[in-house]
Amino acid sequence: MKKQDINIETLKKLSMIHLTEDESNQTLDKLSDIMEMIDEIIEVKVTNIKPLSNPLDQTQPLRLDEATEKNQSEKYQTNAPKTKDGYYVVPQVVE
Amino acid sequence: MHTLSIKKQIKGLRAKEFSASEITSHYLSRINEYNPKINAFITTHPDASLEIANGIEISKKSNPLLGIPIAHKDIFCTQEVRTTCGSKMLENFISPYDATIVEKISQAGAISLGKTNMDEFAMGSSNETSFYGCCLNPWDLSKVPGGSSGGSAAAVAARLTPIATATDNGGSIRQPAAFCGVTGLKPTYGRISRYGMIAFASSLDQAGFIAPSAEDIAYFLDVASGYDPKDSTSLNEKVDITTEEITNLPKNITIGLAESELTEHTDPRILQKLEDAIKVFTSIGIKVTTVTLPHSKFAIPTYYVVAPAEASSNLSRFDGIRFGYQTNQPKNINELYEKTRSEGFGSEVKRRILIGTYVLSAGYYDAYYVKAQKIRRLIANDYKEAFDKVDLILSPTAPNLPFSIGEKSDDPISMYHNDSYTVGANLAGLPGISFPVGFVDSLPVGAQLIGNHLSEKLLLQVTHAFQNKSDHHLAIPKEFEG
Amino acid sequence: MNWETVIGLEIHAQLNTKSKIFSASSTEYGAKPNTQASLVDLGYPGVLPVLNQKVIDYAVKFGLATNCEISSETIFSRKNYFYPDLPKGYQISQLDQPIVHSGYVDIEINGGPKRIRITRAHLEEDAGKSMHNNETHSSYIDLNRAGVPLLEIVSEPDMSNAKEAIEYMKYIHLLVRYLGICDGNLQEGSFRCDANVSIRRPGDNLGTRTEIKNLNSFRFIEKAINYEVDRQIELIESGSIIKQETRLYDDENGITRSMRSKEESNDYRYFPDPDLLPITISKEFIDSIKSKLPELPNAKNNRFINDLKLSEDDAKRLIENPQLSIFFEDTARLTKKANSNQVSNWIIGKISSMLNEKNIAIDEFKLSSQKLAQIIDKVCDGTLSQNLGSKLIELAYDSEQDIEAIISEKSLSQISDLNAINKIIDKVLASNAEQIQEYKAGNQKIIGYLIGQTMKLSGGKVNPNTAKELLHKKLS
Repeated sequence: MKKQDINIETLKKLSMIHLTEDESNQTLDKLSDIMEMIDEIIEVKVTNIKPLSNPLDQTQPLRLDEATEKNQSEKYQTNAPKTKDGYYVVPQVVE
Repeated sequence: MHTLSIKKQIKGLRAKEFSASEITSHYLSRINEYNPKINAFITTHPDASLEIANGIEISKKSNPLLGIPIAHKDIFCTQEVRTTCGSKMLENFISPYDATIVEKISQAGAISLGKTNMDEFAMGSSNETSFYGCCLNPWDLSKVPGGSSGGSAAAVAARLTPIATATDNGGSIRQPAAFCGVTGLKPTYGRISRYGMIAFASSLDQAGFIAPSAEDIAYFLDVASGYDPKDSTSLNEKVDITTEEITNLPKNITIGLAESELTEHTDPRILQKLEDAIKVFTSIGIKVTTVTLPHSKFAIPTYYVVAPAEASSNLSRFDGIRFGYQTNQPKNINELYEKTRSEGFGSEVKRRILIGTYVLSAGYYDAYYVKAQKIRRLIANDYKEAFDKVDLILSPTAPNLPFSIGEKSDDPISMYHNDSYTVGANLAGLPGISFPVGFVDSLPVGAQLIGNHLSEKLLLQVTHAFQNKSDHHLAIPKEFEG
Repeated sequence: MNWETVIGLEIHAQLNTKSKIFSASSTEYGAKPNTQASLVDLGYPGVLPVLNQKVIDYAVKFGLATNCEISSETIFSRKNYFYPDLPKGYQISQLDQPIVHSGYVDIEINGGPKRIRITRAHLEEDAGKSMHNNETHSSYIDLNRAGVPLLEIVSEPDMSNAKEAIEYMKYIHLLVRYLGICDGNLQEGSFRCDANVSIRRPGDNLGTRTEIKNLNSFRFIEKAINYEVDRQIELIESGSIIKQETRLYDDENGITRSMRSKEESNDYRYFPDPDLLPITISKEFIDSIKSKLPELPNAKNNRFINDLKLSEDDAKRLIENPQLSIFFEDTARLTKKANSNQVSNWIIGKISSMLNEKNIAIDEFKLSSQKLAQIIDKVCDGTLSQNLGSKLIELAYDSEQDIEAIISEKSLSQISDLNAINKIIDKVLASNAEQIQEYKAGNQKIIGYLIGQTMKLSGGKVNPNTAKELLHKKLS
């Protein structure tokens, strides 16, 4: 896995993580090493093998359609750094 | 009191040899004295613990766990006590709800002593990534206790708590248990509800217990297990292990020693301890043979695709908007996200998020994520085939002895290989237990038994039988004996 | 220059379940901000989604009504991106193995049917709402809507102009209401539409498409599509290329404009959600849903026209409102003398105007179909005049009494005794000597006035035709 194959700027953007240039370079080095280790999976033959998403052979349990949750917004909003009139407040998003 | 097994503690409480208050105070004062040495606890709440203990009256009809102290890994949400997950991101986070496992244990009457230290967001094998400082191995304070449940394992090893909850998605219960000379059980995936367990990798995460012995764990496993309608992935299966049953050892048990290339990278002294353990098994009538798990060498790279991928998505909710850390005065929405997450997460967490993002990204998803999930099935099939021949699979828990603090923190790959023996069970959703099998250079060594789905009872029975014939699990580090 | 327009529509229909798709929060519209947002909706650490049974029922219902294949196993996937109204940083949606796919509907275009194929319809959770404030430079987030179930219905690009797009959208809008799975309230946002528009020369491959959002009325769709098609044609003819992007329809200015999109070249990194297990859908389940499917609008329309002999227009008026068409049929079934056409006239006329006046829907209408049927029959057999019938409907609406009781109490019956009517006519003639003169002088039309006077004097209880006949007799 060559370093050039990993576009660290794209990854940072997609994961909303900021790194300084130094940090980016260091991280890129480590990521390359890790991906090299991961690349060991390339040699494994997986023809006709179905991916295993979940170790159980179960199916999804279903919930009855009832609105049983009670309003606890006041309690929950004590955890939020900025609220106003019941809304969560963030710097303006421009669309 | 701290040298008593849980069985004896229960007996003592019933016989009124001591009260819930006394046993709780005892542990609290031990925490007070010894925790500064090992930093096993992130948060304690002595007043609250005592208040609950003081209000307890134990009669013969009481729930067995009533009055027994326990510590919770700081990954489980608890109301009124902060839950940090070892991170700055949740430094002041007070959860508005209790995790199901916490609720069940508290309803059974056990008393929480506090929240234990852990690698940040459970990402690590040494407890060195914790924002709250490293936890130290009570057997040698210059060594790591293992991770991510380092705090739980160290607290139990130093007898600051009779038992602790912990979590495991790649070995995080078993490896620290091995490093700290105690017993750690990771149940079958879905056995214990994940509701309230802060998610790292949803298809691998599982809650479990660390305690000195298998018998201690048996007391708590049933209470914590069972279907939870709030967790779609939880199983509707009773564990049904009474502590009387744990003393039964079924006949004709066969253990398969896993043969693999991993042994080439394992400290030979650990392999020697394993041989000693095999002798004990044979002496109690258990047959030991060999099995191969042909894809085991791909377990680590497979794990390091699947786990970071799921983590990268699970950790997207940490943006500082509704809870948790938020960067100071962000100028715009992007800054809010980027700075909050860069300041709130440590470097290992960020690294894993980036890896996870990478292996899910367009152009790489099929080659990495999908492929890894296919190899995962091959690994699960290996175990299935092995369990046609044997009842349990034996291996070392870790390929190396507890290492020095700082030794591997700059070498993630070396760190990741700590999990070589343990990740397979997570990928296949199988239960596994680590138990002490001896000492090398005065450092604990653990062996691991993996069982088929839903075989926790057998794992505990076999381990208990082993522990009846050995005393490694009874050892307490000298410094913490008092 | 010959240009072909290619349009596909993506419709998001909010399923009208009581609780959200993955949490037990209420889905009621209009609650105070964040009062219907549970820990699961807020994406708190450690919480997990649990699937609402009803959404499966509803999605399969839709699939059956649109000739889709129903997947025997369906899974949820995570669509990852960051936006403040998306608390988890991912939306639980479906990518591979959507619940239903590969279906079609037939819409009416220029008197004939046109088939619009449905690529897929899948389940997902709605996001919250953001309000942006230019003065405070802040955005305000309400997560009540986060987690409300959506059925995303994706069509093939089978429509070739705005009219077809509107017909398709209208049909789906009608269908989801017939199926009872969505209330179709565009103002409240329970039915939203995005259009994918591209142009090409006949015979060419598909051109680059743009996505137009914010089309929350039928009128908007027509204007937006037409504007966008013109815009694209102009761009290409002037030598530029079409940029694949998302655009917002701006009704104030009648244009589409480029959106500084949250989804700008975003890689969503879809993967199966590990917190949810695959859902299996058995043949037995599908059959049970099929057996409970209501009659679909097209079938009902045909039956109204062919069997009940309603005019196309009348049928259309009734079909447009599922509950009203049910009320109509219930009433028509109960009348003993009136035929369907007569009943339909009453429904489309008097009943509809009462609904408008009272600003209510038919399910809040207090007069039962039994009582209405009785009243219509009485008009049909001459017991009541049209006017009296209308009046009786109003009286009966506010009354607990049965119809006969009201009629006798208010003496509403038409006077049928000819002697009695003649007596009234005599009175009218006695006080309208001038008009009699006029009539006799040749002004036939004056009889209308005299009929009116007769009606007035009798309190509307005389059948106007009878009055006309008798007046004629007396005056000749």
